Amino acid sequence: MTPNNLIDIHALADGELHGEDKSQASDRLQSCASSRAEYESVLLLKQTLKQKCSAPAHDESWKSCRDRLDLIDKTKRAETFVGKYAWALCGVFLFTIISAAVFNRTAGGNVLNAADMTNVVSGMSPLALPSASGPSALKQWMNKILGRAPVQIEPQLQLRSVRQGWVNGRRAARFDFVDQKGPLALVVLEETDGVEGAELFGKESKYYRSQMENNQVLGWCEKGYGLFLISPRSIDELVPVAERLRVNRSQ
Amino acid sequence: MLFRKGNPNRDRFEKMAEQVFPSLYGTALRLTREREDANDLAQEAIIRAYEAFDRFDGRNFKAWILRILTNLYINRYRQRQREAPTGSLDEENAAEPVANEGTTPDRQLFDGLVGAEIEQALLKVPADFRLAVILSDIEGMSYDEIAQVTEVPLGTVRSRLARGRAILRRELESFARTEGYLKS
Repeated sequence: MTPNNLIDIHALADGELHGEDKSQASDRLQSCASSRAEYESVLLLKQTLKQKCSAPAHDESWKSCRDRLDLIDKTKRAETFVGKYAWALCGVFLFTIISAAVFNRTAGGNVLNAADMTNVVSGMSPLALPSASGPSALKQWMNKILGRAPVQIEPQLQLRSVRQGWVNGRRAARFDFVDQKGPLALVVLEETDGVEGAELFGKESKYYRSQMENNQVLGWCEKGYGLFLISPRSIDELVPVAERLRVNRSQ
Repeated sequence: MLFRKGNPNRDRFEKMAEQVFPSLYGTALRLTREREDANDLAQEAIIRAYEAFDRFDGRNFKAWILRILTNLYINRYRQRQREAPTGSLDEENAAEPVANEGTTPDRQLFDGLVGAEIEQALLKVPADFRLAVILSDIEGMSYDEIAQVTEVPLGTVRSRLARGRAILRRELESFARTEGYLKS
């Protein structure tokens, strides 16, 4: 039996031989015992495999397949939605960004970042102190610089120097004083309604506190002005000074 | 509606896939030899088929999805399992007879074996031959369909089947002798 004959016997057993090939193979079965044995053996093997090799349990696997198909469908739906309405989503994002920018420019623009305090303090030019040394003349001169800022300098504070300048388009002034406890600076900033990055504290949370190098900064906002006391002394010591500055102005 | 649930394509695919899944999973298990790998392989084949369903020509879904599974197996699992290549055994002149003349009657051999033992013996047949035997004798596919699934010429299918069956017969007999069903 040649290899080709052998393969033909398998094909015959599989029902895959037709016409002349089939009759030749059938004739060979009649005349050749080994071909007949091969044919019967193949048929029996096929029958055994068909009968004894059942489909393995696959329910769990099929369930997992369906879950994965669901996931694919969900992703496709989301992608379709995004693809279809990309222009609208872009529009919404753009509108949100513009709105936030406008809001920040208008409503949120008057907020000072505590970290910018160093720039505020350093970016000012010194002013010459008035030649007239009388208390009333000095008071008049300072009120001119302070404008309508809700603060009144108490007489115990001896003025040493004054600086003035502009910070982000806002007028700013810095007064350096000395009292019994040492040096103290007051920074006044126009158009300031709040302070970012500083901790609110006190009974009515009206003061902000932060640090600038070795100095404590005590701030508060009133009537559109931001006021900041800067000193190496503690915050608790600065609060009474701030309270007096505010009270004096209201008197 | 933006997020409608019904998807006719999905329903059609799922219906067809559910019908062939026992064959798909069975073939995957008989190829990979491990349940976990068979799960992965069958699921991956389903996913690939679903993603490519719009390219299905509508003729023979079972052959189409089994071809996907076979390609996945060849590209992924067989490399990992480092199975010896069987290309040289594909030659037609390498065919050997299934019948073991005069030694063991086939009926006595096959009747004594249970399904699990046959499956064990099947796993010892090299993958290319095993796949041909699985598709023909367990899944009942024609030579044309097997050629379509395995992407080899008809002649190769014929020779792989003859060779695969001969190896399987030998393994079954060896197994039966080891287990004491047959006396040496």
